[in-house]
Amino acid sequence: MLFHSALKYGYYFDRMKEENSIALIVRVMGAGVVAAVLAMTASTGRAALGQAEGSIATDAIGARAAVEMSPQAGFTVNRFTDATSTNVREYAAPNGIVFAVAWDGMGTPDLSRLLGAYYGDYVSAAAGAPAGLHRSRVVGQGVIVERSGPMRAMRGRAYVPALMPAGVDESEIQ
Amino acid sequence: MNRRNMLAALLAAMFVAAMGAHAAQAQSNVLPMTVKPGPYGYTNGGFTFALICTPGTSTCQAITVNLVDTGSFGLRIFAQTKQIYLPPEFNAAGGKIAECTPFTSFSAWGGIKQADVYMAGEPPARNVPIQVIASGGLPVPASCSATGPMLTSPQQAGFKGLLGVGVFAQDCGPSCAPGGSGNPGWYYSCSGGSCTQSAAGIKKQVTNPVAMLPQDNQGVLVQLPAIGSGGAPTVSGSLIFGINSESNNQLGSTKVFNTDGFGEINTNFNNGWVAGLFDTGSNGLFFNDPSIPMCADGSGWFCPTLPVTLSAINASKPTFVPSKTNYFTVDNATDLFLSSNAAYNDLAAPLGTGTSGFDWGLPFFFGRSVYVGIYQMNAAPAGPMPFFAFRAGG
Repeated sequence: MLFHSALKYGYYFDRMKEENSIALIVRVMGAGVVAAVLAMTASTGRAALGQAEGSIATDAIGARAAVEMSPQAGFTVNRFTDATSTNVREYAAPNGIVFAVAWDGMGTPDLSRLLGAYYGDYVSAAAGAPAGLHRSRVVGQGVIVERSGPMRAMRGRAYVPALMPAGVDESEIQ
Repeated sequence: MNRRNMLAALLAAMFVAAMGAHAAQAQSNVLPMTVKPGPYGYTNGGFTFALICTPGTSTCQAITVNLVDTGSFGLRIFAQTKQIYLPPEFNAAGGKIAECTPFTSFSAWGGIKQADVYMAGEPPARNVPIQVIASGGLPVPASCSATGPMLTSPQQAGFKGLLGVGVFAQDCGPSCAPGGSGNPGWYYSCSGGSCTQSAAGIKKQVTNPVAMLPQDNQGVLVQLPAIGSGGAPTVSGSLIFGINSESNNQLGSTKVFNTDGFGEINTNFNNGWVAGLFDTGSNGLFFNDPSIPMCADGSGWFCPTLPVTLSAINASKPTFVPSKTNYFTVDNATDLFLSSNAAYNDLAAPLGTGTSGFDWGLPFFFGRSVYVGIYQMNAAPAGPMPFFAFRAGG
């Protein structure tokens, strides 16, 4: 949460002072995350939901910062900022399979890429779900997609309950 | 009767008809805001209306079933209900400007057009950039359709127009303008039958029409009366323009809660600070509390066996001063929906998205006066930063 808050304030000052905040955000990220920062430049495949972690960089096409890997108890979080300046986090199980993605920012990431094979499940399930301007929850056959926020602060996450590693709670997907 | 007078007479007739018995007390800066199902069956939606005109002419149409949304910025209508000519907004390169607008259930694709906007008895907001959703001739770009489901009709939305009256003048702001940092890619430039992501100047972006009124442009005051715990079939309230500009929109001693650059305050629920939002565009209270049972019918709402009363602290951002504890009740949604009411005070559901926020939807507004102050439009004592302010009594 601390990391998330710090990142938001980076944007806050950007909006209010119209400064170039990218450098600020990178500094905040550097200070807030005790993890190895690994610049990944190789594209070795797709790392969408349900796919292998080994190719996260493919999802980070146009990324504004290197992919950061943060090993945690039971899973690894891979963070990057996409071409729409959206902060994206991909959660990989110990077996390397991506079981969740989460994002926040003014933009909306390329969900067809991030959700991969589950994107169609999301879109078709959404057609039968109640419409919400600033909060929605869609339960598909395999994927659950939750989104919230005013139009300048969109947040979301998508996860596949069947792929969640043992002992990991959905509340850990932030 | 000249054009201006004809228009004023038409607007006054609409206004009086809608206000009904309240017309005698109406001031020129007050629009009725009514919670009702509307033609598509909507729970906890506050609707009003506006008149839009081809700029500089008396060629106009009414936009009815216009959902009041304090969580977005600008007026949006649907191509299916558009009846008059509205000139497109062009960028410096000669391209037509279009937008892929982010909401949580869908993205709204459509061109940006200019309209004169008449609201209540106010003189018009001229040449307001609005969005016409699902406008033909502009194919949805792949980069937009990749953001999730698309909004294509009033039936899907539950409203015919969306009146975004939140705390900013432009929907995107400096980030989407030329030279802005971190462009989130909402705006597009269209020519030759295709559209590509492109910056859009501040004055070309979809703009909160309140900020473009010649007067009473500081923001809005939403007033809805209190309703009982079982809800109400309909609720009649007011959308009042201006802050500290007329006798009916004075802040007085009402405390001001500043927002951040996203339009959010601080909210503390169950000992954790998260982003809080006062949001007429959402129909329930949305927050995470795993201790409250969900409805067995799969509707996604909370269904406690007995009503539970909870509290959360709201605080100004970034200073946390002032702060105030607000109490609210969550009732069993399945039981509530046994009535045929359109308004419910105690309707709530999980926000989802981790522990990242608290969305104070329409139930927060019943029995309150809530001010929505637009960034850079307010003088002291409220000051230029975006804000919400609220007090008891709708």
